[in-house]
Amino acid sequence: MKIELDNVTKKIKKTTILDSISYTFEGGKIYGLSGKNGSGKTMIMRIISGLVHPTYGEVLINNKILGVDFSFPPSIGVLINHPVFLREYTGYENLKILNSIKENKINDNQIKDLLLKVGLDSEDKRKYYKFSLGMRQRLGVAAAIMGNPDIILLDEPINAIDENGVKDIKDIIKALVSENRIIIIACHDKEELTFMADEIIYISEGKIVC
Amino acid sequence: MFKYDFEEGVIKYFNKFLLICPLVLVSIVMFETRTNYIMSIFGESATSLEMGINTFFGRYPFEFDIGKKQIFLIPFEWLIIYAYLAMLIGDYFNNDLNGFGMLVMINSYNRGIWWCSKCLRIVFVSIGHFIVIWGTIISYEWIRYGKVSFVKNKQYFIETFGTQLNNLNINKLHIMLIVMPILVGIVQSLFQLVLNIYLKSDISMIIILGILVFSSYYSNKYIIHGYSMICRYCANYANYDFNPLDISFGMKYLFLLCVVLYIMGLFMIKRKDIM
Repeated sequence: MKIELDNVTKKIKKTTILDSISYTFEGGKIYGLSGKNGSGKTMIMRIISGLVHPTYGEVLINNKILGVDFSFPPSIGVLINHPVFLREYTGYENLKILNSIKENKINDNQIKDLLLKVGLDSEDKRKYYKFSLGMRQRLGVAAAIMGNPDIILLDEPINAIDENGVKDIKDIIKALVSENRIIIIACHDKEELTFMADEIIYISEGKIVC
Repeated sequence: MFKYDFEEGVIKYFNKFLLICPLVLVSIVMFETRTNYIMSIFGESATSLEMGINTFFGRYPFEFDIGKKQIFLIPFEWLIIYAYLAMLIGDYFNNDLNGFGMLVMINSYNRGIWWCSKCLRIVFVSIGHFIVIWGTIISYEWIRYGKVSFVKNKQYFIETFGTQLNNLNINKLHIMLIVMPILVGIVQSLFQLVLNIYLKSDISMIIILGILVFSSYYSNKYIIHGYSMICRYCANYANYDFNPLDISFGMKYLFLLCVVLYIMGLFMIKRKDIM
């Protein structure tokens, strides 16, 4: 599993958000994106996920061009910005709907196990709009890792989560590492990132600085 | 994916569909009040067909003649039907694109399927909207007169709508009345969806409203909304410059527009950055 960013530049109107980023991500590692707010971390994730097209440059996933050979990476889980789910459904029901659309489906018991793993009650009848911020974030992580995708992008995964929850999420992320999987985490907290990631990439004003 | 859009975007909107019923009822009651004298002379009451023609009758376009003093009244019943359809299409697309739909899109791995599902949703919303309108008309006739009928009452029809419409083949009339308004609604909704790709939903609704007002004033075989106004299929004896619309051209044109708008939207959604 390999993701290559080849001279990726993103401009929005006259503002350069990303400036000639070239980097290769390989399977078996957790990559951390570190940088201030507005440095371009989320934009890199949006481009890798296929949501945004680079102005110049290419993204290659296993030597296939994203946006040309396929619209979205074939096996990806994403948590970008604040997770948004269907208000009138429970956490379990939301995951079930997402699961029904995926190619690699999991069964109902696996969905329940996934909810327990991220610290949510699989039998909780509360609808999503009643969830706290931390619960919503946990559900977002669950949706991102559901079905064991080959690429996992997590933007600020431990936001709004309590101390115990942070430990659980870190353990889950560590356990997901495998030869065929790339995990990319963006986090503004350098300390947390250092603990979670095998390799840290520093982004400043749209460029990789280190 | 369509099951998700059908449940979230059609079934859950059911209550909103019903809000058009009071308007339709008011329109029918006003129509019956206006034509009461015909009912009393000939002993005929309006059928669902006649109530439907009244609802979708529309108006002839404005005559731009400086020498003539005239007041132009916008056909509000007709306009509100299509304006309300634009409201039903509403902001579902934008909310979905920036919310749960973004996750759905990524998990389906295909922007094309997502777009197709949204287009199917608007087709069902458009059809549902007109089913409610016709359901109201039919229910009214059934409750009021104990019957449901799609035939013309000869004298009532001639006195109310004129001989031109009366001389039209009944099948052609049914197509004008039932099929064409739905087709126009689908094309309008598809156009609104294409606008929503890059504009906010309230801006696209304002544009649709502008087009509806424009269509009231002007008539041309390329202006789609004319095809949902029954009167525009007939000559206007007060204005010989007016060219009646042709139903067979209209059907082909509207189908073609559906295909063109679908392809255009597909191309646009594939290029759009989802922020």
